[in-house]
Amino acid sequence: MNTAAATTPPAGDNEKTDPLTRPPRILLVEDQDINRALVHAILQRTQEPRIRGAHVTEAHNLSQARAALANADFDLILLDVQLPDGSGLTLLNGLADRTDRPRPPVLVLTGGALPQQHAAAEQAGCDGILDKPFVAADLISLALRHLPAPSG
Amino acid sequence: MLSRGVALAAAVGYVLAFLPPAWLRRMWSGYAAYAASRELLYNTGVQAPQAVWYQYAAAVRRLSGADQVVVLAAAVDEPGLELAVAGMEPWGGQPLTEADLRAVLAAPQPVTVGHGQRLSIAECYARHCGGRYVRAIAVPLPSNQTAALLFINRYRSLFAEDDARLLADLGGQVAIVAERNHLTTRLEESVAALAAASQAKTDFLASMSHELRTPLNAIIGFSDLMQSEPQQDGSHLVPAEWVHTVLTSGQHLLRLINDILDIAKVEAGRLDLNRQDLALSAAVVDITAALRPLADRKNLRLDVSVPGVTVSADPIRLRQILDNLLSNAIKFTPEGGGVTVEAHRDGDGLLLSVRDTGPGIAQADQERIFDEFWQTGDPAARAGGTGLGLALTRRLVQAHGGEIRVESAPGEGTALRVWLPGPVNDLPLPDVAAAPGRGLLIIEDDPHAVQLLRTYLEPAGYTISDAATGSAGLAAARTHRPDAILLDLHLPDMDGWQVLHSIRADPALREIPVFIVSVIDERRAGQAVGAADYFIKPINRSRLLARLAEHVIADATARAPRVLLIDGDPHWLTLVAADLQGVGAHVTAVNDPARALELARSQTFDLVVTDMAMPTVNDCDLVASLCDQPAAVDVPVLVITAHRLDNATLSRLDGKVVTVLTKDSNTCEQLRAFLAELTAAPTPTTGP
Repeated sequence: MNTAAATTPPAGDNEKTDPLTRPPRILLVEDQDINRALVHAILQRTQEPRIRGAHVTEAHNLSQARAALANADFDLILLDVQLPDGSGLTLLNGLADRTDRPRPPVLVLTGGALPQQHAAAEQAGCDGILDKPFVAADLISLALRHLPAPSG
Repeated sequence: MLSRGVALAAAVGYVLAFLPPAWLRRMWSGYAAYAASRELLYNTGVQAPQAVWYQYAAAVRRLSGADQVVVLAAAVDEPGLELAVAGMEPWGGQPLTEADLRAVLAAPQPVTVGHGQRLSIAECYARHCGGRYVRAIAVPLPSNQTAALLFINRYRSLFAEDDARLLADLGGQVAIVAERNHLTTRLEESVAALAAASQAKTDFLASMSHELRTPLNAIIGFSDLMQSEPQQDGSHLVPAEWVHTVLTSGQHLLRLINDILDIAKVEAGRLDLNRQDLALSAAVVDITAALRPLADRKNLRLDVSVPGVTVSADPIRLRQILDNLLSNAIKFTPEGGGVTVEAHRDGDGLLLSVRDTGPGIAQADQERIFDEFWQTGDPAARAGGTGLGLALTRRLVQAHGGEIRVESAPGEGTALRVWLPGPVNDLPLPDVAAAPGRGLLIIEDDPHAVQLLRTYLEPAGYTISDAATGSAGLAAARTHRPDAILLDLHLPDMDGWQVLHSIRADPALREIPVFIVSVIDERRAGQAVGAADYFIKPINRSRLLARLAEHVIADATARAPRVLLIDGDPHWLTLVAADLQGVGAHVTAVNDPARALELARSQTFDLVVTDMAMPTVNDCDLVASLCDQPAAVDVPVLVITAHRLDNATLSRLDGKVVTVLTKDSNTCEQLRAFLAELTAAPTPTTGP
C-alpha cells in the first residue's frame, strides 16, 4: 500500500480531449476504507452526466497523494484532512507553488466541523468544504460547482 | 561661656540621642512607619507571601536598628511559627507552638536572656543568634491568629516600646498585602488551569465530533444511496456490502458512545465502584477465553500466569480493564507473536502486566497512548478500535486508586502494567487452575511424561490417575469418570485418535473434555474431532493449567450454556452470536449445514438454533437430521425463519422443534429470554 492505488487509470494520455466532454479525473485522498468506498459508490451511482464514469485515483495518505499529483493531471481533488502522515491541508501549500500543471479545485471532506477547523481549511486555500456526514447530493452538487462549466 | 555653650549643646545632644522628647520621637517613628508601609505596599509588586514577610522583617530591622528581627505567627495548617527573619538564618530547631508564643508575649518586656529561665521562644532565638535582650510585641493580624514581632539585641535598645508597637501594627497591613499576593498568585494559577482545561475540552470535543462523524458518514451516506437503488416489489435491491458497512459502522458508533459515556461518568465522579474481593485468575481466564478466538485467528500465543489471589476491584470495571488491555495487545501484535498476562503482589496491591511482542511504542508517544482518540500504527488497524480504550482504562484504574504504566521500546514489544491497591489475599485454591478433587486421567505410555504432567498438575489440586495403554485408558475413564482427560496420540496398543473416537462414541464419556498431547502438530485434526485443546510437547505449564481451568473449573461452577447457531447469512450469525455471548452463552456459529451436523455429532450443545432457509439442505431435512443425532436427541432445537411456515411444514417439525421464532428485530431478545429459561431449569444433558 505504498503506492497510489489507481482503480481506473488516470487519463494522462487523453489530455488533448475536451475537458467538457470526457469524464472528469478525480483524486480521492482518504485513509479510511469505508469513506473511500462511500465516495466511490456515490460517483458510480450518480445520474449526473458530467460526473458519471469519473476516473478515480485513490491515495491513502499524503505521500501517495503527492506521488499521484506528480504523475498526472486531475480535474478535482477530494481531500480528507486527518491523514496518517499529516494534515491533508499541507497538500494545498504544495499545489499553490506548482507552475508546471494547472491547479485543480480542491474540496475538503472533513469530520472536523468546528468553526476554527473550517477557518483553517479556508485559510489553506481550499475551494470548498464538505462536512461529514454527507449524502450523495451534497457531494455531487459541490463537485459540479467546481468542475469546468459546459460551454453555453 | 564657651564651656557653658558646649555643656548645653552636649546636654541637648544627650537628650536627643538618649531621651528624645515625645514630639521628636513621634515625628521620627511616624516617619519610620510611613517609610516601612510605603516600601511594603508599593515596592513589592506581586510576590509570594513569604517574600512580603521577609521584606517586612528587613524593613523593621533597618528602621528599629535591632540586631535581629523575627516575625512569628501561629499558622493554621503547618507546625512551627516562623514567618520571616532578618539579620539571621531561619531557626531550624524544634517546632514552636502557639502556647510558646502566648507565653513570650505575656512576659515582662524586654526579656533578658541567660538567667536560667526555662527554654522559651526568647531564649531559643537569642541563643540562635547570640543576642541578650528580646522584646516581643503582638502583631494584630486581620485573621486574629496569634502573631508576634521579636526584636533581638546584644545591648539594651533605646528603641521605645510604642515605636515598636507602631511597627508591629504595620504587620497587620503586611498580612493583607501577603494575603492579596497569595490570592493573586492562586487566581493566576486557577486561570491558567481553567484555560488548559478549556483547551483540553475543546480538543476533546473536536476529536469526538470527528470520530463520531466518521461512522455516521458511512451510515448516512450509504443509507442515502440505498434509497436511490432500483426498487422491486416495494423493496430496494441494495448491495449486501453496503448493508454490512452500515451495520459495522453502527456497531462502531455504539462502542464509541459507550466508551465516551463511561469516560464522562468517571470524569464527573459518577462512577460507582462496587468493589469486591475477586478471584483474579477467574477474571483473567474469563477474558482470555472470550478473546482467544481473536488470538487464534492471528495465530498468537496467549500465555496466562496469574497467582491464585483475590484483588479488590469492581467486577465489571476489572473486566473492562482486562478486556481493553488484552484486546489492544492482540490487535497490535503481528501474526505469530505472543501475548502474556502475568500478575504478582506489589506493595499494598497487585501488579498486573499484559506484555506483547508487537512493534513497541517510541518513548515520545508513550504518554500519548492514554490520550483520547490517539492511536498508533497502521491506519487500517485503526478502524478496529474507538481510540478510547486506553484512555478509559487509565481512568478506571485511577478510579480504583491505582496506576497504569507503559514500558516499551520500538521493536521490543509493549508491556502495560496496572497496579491496583487493596488487600491481595491468597485464594483457598493454590493455583490458577486449582481444582481440589477434580479428577484428571492421563493416558500416556511414557512414565517420564506422566511424571512431568503430575508435577505440573498435582500442586494445582488435581487428583491424577494414569493409564499406559489406550484400552486401559478407556477402562479407567469408565470407572473414574475424570473431569478431563489428557491423551497422548502415540500409544502402544491403539492409535490416540481411536481412543478419542471411542470416548466420543460412549454416551457416558462423551462430555469429558479431552486434551491431546503430542509431539506432532495436528491441531486442526484435533479440533475437527472435538478435542478441547491440542498441546504440543514440550508443554507450556501455565497454558495447560489455564486451559484446563477454563474447561474444568468453569464447567463445574457456572457452566455457560453452549449454543449451536446455524444460519446461511454470516452477518446475521455475527450479530446474534455477539448478542448471545453478551449474556454469557458459549456460541458456535456456522453457516454450512454439513459442518453443523458434524458439530452436532462431535460436541454437546444445550441449544440448537437454526434458520429454515439454508442454501444446500432442504427445509426440514436439516432439523430432522439434527434431531436424529444420538448426541443431540435431548437437545432442544429452536427454528428461526424469515417466512411464515405453512401447516404441512409445521406438522413435520412438530415434536422435533421446541419453538419457531420469526426473524425480526425482536429475535435476539426472544432468544435471550429462551436461553435464560433454559439455563434456569435443570437440563437433562447437564451432568451432576
